[in-house]
Amino acid sequence: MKDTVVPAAQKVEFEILKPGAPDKLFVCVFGKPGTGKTRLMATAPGLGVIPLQRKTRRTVEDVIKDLYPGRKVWWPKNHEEFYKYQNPMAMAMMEREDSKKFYRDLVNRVKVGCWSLLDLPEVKTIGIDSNYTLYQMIVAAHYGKSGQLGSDKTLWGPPNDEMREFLTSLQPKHLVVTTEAKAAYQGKNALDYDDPAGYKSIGYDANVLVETHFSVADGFWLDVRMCQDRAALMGEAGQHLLSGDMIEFKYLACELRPDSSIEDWE
Amino acid sequence: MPTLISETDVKLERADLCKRIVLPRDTVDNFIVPPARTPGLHLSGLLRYVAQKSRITSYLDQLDEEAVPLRWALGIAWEEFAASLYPDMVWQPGEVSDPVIMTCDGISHLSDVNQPCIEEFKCNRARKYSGADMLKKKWLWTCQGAGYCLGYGCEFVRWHVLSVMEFPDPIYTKYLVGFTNKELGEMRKMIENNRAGAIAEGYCE
Repeated sequence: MKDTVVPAAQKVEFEILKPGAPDKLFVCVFGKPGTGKTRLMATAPGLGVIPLQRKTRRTVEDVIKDLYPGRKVWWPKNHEEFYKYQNPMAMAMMEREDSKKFYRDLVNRVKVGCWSLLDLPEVKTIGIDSNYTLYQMIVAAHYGKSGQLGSDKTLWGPPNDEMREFLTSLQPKHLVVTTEAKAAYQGKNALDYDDPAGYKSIGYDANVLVETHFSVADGFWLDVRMCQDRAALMGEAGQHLLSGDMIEFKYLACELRPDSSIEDWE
Repeated sequence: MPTLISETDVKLERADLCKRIVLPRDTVDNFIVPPARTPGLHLSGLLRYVAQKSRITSYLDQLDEEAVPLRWALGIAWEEFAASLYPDMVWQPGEVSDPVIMTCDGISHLSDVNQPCIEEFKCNRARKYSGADMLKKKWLWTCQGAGYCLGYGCEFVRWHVLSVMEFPDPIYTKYLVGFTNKELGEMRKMIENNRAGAIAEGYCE
């Protein structure tokens, strides 16, 4: 028998050891509209935002005003460039190669925006709202806008690899990404719950994948859907993990890292 | 996240086929009898309950695969073939019941660290995963592995994975993984947190 040993890690990265400081967190939050996804992101400390939709700003402003008056949030000066595309008719008429170039430029702008946040020492958390929009952009940068795909088969590997490598590059800081919800399917059968839309592996890449909910009877609450960090939060313990005013980054972080204190996440 | 200690691609040679051992089997009237399973909540039932509770669709898909006889037949064939290559391994060492009933595929001895190691065999209908991807994406496997470590008093699990979707030939890879006490403690809590619910909702055998 011939064994070929592949080293577990090809590259080792080093950083200054800060005793006691908990590792950075990567949180992915998904849910139906109006369930508090952006609000949860907005409660993260030292937040720098990459807004990929217009309504992000209002929610972030509301959270700062209501919960953290005086707290700084970093916002791109040219924010409209991230979500103000050309007029829809021009977009629809675009040739595939032009469409790919347009979205590649947009994706590059988002990447540069995120990497610029990495360079700001005061920024502790990078927030992307929403990752679903970013994923659609990345797919379009590879293949053109989906409406123009025609009969070609889309290979998901390249956009997925790009998404994963990009998210990994941001993890020197906390990372909170939101994404939309879509009906879950098992084969062709619809299930009675939602899954995160877009990039499928997000639950495996993030430290925790949480789903936000709202009902008139129960108000707002949050369920853990996948947690690579703490197996104990899988199953019953992760259901209704946080509710109401407790749905904040710092309380979620303390659940994920029970040895840490609230102050570690402020 | 458990620690990937090594990832080894295995290339079989003709000579290996001549060194296989006969696996011990219970038979009745010349028919193979599968090992008896004690009635009660098994680790597999508990993990099924957790997957339902946390709504892990990809795992539900994996459960669905068990309804396809040829797929699990390939799983059994792979386990029995690969297990026959390791004469020093104790194959199907029998059930344990603490913290929940479970049966691992095998146990061997890791001479490097002088500790026991769980051996698990998986016929995976996918391309080969890197070790890091395997740990991320195979939630069920890592939970099973951690559960077996608790039950059999180990800290190491070695998965023997046949990645059948590699072209032109399948790839046999061994992934050796270590669990920390903290990770095993989390697994124990997961079992305790979900035991009553799983029993109440009929996940016992």
